[in-house]
Amino acid sequence: MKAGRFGLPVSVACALLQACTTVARAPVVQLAAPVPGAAPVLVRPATDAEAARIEGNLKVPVLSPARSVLADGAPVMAGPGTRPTEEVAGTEALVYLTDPEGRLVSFEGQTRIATTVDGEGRFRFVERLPVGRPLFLTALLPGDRRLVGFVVTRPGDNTISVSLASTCVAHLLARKALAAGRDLASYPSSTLLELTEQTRARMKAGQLPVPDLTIGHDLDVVHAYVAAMAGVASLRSAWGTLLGISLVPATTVFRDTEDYVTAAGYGAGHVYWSHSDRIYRVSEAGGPVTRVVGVDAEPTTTVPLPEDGAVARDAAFGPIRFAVHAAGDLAVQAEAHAVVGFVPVADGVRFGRPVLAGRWYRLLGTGEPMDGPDDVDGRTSALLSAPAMAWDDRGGLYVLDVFADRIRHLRGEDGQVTDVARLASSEATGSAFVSSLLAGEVQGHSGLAWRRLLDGREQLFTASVDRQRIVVLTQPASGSWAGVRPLSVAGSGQRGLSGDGGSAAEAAFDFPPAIASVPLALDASGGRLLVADVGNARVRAIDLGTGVVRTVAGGGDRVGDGEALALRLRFQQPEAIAVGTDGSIYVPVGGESEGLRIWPETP
Amino acid sequence: MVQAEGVGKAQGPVASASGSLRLAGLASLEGRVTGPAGLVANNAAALVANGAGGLVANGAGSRRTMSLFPQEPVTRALVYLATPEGRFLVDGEGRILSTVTDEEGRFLLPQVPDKGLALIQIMLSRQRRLMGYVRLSGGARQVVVDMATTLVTEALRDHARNRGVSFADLVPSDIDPLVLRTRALLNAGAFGPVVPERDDPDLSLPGLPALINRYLAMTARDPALQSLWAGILGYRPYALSPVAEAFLAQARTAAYRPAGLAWDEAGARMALALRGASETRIVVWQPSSLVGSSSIDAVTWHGDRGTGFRMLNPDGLVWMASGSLWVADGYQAKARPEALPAYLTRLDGPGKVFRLFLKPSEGGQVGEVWGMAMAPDGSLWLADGSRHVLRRIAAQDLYPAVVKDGIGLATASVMVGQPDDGGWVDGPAATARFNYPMGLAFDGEDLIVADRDNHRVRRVVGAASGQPIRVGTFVGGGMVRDTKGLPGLPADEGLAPLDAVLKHPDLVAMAPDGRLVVSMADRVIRVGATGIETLTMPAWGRFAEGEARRVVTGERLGMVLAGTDLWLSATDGPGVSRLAMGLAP
Repeated sequence: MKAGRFGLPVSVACALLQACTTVARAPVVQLAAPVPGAAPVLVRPATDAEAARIEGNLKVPVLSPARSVLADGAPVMAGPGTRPTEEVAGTEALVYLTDPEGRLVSFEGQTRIATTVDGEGRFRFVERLPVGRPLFLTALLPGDRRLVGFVVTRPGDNTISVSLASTCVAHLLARKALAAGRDLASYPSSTLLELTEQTRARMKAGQLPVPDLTIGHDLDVVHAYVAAMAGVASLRSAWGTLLGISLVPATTVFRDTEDYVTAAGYGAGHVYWSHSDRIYRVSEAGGPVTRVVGVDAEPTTTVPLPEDGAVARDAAFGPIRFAVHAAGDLAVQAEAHAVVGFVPVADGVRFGRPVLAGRWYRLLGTGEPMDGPDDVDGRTSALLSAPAMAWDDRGGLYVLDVFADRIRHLRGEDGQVTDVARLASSEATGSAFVSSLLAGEVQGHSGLAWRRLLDGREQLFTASVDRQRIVVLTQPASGSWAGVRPLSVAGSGQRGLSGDGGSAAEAAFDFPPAIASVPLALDASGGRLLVADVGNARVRAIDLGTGVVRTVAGGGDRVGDGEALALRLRFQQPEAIAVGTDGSIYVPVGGESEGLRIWPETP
Repeated sequence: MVQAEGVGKAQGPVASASGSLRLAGLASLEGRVTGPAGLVANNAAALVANGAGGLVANGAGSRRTMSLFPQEPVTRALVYLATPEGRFLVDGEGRILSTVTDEEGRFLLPQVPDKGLALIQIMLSRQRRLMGYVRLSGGARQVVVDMATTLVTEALRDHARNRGVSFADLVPSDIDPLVLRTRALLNAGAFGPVVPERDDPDLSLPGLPALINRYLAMTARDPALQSLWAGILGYRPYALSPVAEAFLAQARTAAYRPAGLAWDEAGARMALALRGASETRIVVWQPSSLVGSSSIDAVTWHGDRGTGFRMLNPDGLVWMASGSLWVADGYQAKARPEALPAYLTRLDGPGKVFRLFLKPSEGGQVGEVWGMAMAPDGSLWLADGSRHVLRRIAAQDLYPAVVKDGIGLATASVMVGQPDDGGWVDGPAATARFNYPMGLAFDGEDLIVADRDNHRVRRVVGAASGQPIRVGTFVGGGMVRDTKGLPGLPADEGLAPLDAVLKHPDLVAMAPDGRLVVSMADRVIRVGATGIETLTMPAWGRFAEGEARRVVTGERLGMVLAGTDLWLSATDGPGVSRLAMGLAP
């Protein structure tokens, strides 16, 4: 019997190698545990016909030469966060091979397992390698950084280009394949090459920020790469097809360094958010931030209520909450005054009166929180506290007056006020919703979301912190809300975290008592209810067709900047949520009050 | 020789050969690489090199210590040479100086530069590595690379990066003592248990900060090694460890947070206040169970619920020699109606509660009492923060006749300051002024006062002497300015006490050697003859334990010295922790 290395018969060595391959296919979560196998020694193939050879070249990303050439003429490799558009030959690197799990491989009978690139960035392994084996090439660069390439060895010459693009592709592939327990050799090389070329094209267009390439920061590369795919449907689709999963990137749309974000909204292509007493907006595509409501001054709660017609961005309202109409009109609640008003985005007629863009108009509440009759004219009507508002599709506004335990509606055409549910007249109207309120089923601070069903009826979704539930009120065909009973949509009633992938009604959410409002939002189609599950620091989505809930963002361990895979992020308590027309979810990550865009899944 | 061109200029890897550091002179380097068995365990099974485990197995699940690992050869690992700045060393033909360890962990590089510093990097699987460094000279050199060289080299590199200086300028000419003492400590098991889910020390690059943190904390176990590092770092590294984690985790689950803290004089008992959402508990621990045990022997002396003696914020705790415990409840003034007097609570044992209402010696009411200190004559001194005065309850008044149902009354006389007249004035008691005094500690007959809003520590000379009292300023320049300084080294480190930047000091403790420890909003310092020494600071690490300057300690509500250990309690972070200051000068 022919003896292999360490005197083991070749057949035994092969069996052990087989064991190693088995380990290589284990799920990535098991990597932290001691691995009983060991890194493979690549056994030299018996004949040249069975052998593969590896050679290649190394390309490092550089910034435009004008900005990056050192005095000695050497271009500097682009650093983290920069957006390179060019590559040059990398001429200082040590190249070695690992298996997909990052274990060094060595060659039977060789004392050298690494090679150096030449002056033109080329490298070549002189060893004959086994065929059909997935291998990673690490090009170790000065400063503890590395670029990586991936190959499944074919007979004969294998030429590999190691670059930023190949690094992104290799890391993402390795992570997802190992997590899925799938053999890397099973992915079609042509698709991987195509993906690498598409990625390189993104880089050359200046759209691929350089991730942290430091050794061991592979996950950062994955996050940065996925984030760079945001808005590039073709690349995400191709990856989705290859991996059989959807990559959901999260990117930063705003940073508010002044204060915590307390509300968020979306309308007419803009993302809105507020902290304390001001509302800002930014285009969903990024760009400059505009303050739209609230004067830029020290916050105070002791300001007089602005007069009707005041320029909203020059007026002080004290603490505010808001809701955005699809066209961009803002419903604004001045909390200290217990008043709801609105700020139209364009001149025109709203609620039956002529209005000017960017001005403030009082809509509901007298300004005296405890006073005022309940009148059909909202401006002479009492309002206590309205943490949640929702626009309908006819310019009307629903207001949840939480302390008064009622939901009021202001008709878009003329501003006429009606009650969806009203505590004071519950006996008279027989409102089942109010009965539910009295029974404590819907008490507590709540959010509000609205949609219209295909048959024209309306639905309101609201949430109870006391009951840890989300309920729906469905308008009867008569158009009157009288007699409507709330039906549970989500929440088992127990604070907790459970139920993803199953019925939302049996799932547990965590709405802490301290929050002002449970952040709810419906997507543009109205088919999906998004919930900021505040205490669990997740965004969860309820499919209103199937009733199934699942987590769409958060629950991971990644903190800091938001450029990442949505499910790998760790939020603090996200107290606001909004949905864009394309299905993107906007949510503050907390802490740094960074607003994230969670991109929609590719089909 | 090593050509120096390119060094220091490059902002990153250089994509041209012009920056490489070429070999000119001739020397050889022979070495041997060993690592903990966990790192190389897979070798035993055979085929290969440098197995997958990582330092102490990175999640192996057990609390194993380094001492459990015999050092074993690291076989078939990639060895290469680099400069301390991270550039490769190359031979005359531009090839990076690299090789592979053999089956006994040995390597040979027959041609290396004949001068300069070289890092010997041993690349292991999963991008983990061991490291050593060598000062090259002509002829043959022999080196050992192991955990000790790795820890020393990585800690030195980390420090050079933090200080923004070159590694070569920083390292001592002879690192052998550092390495030898480190190796001895490792072999003695001093690295301690590894709890991967907590800080995951690891030989991979992302794991390095945790590894260095753990190593520097370990050096505090060996005064000589600690001194060697102090000479390099510019400060003495101390170890800060969480105490009674399991107990506090359980308390935290029930929404209790640590507040005040006190050791009795004999060091036999520790009292800890746990502030809950609807109740406060005072628990008393036996110290024998505190160290090295996951459970502690705690007795609840008091819980608000159902007793009628409710405590809102029991931040001040002090033991009497008699074994009674006094609890001050500083925030009570905010919650109590104007007409109701302030009070202290005395606990004489489990369930034995006595409430002492305080009658001021002047008009109005006693304000918010925070700090307390027992004077040598048995009287109890109080810091009345909101009224800016120091008060005293005579010894005989601390056990007054019970008026009704466990309630008594005593006079808390103003001794220093003028009620409601805050300010910063030194001098005789009547004219001296404080601005929200909080923490108190006796130094012989003198009383030390954390004068919070004056950003100073004051000394009340002769407070317990029966002689006329004078107030002086002891520590702090009264200014709140940037203390950032260098990473890990605040700008006032080593300065004279009056140059210290104290940001709202609120707790003080006096060490037997006469040095004072001051806790403030952002850090804890020690003040001695050599000036200001920072003990903890706003963490530039992120660790729950380890080298004290790298640990996140949270908002401190209790601090006490017991022997040479400093005990801290905080609302978040580790809860209660112990900083071992040892016998360091």
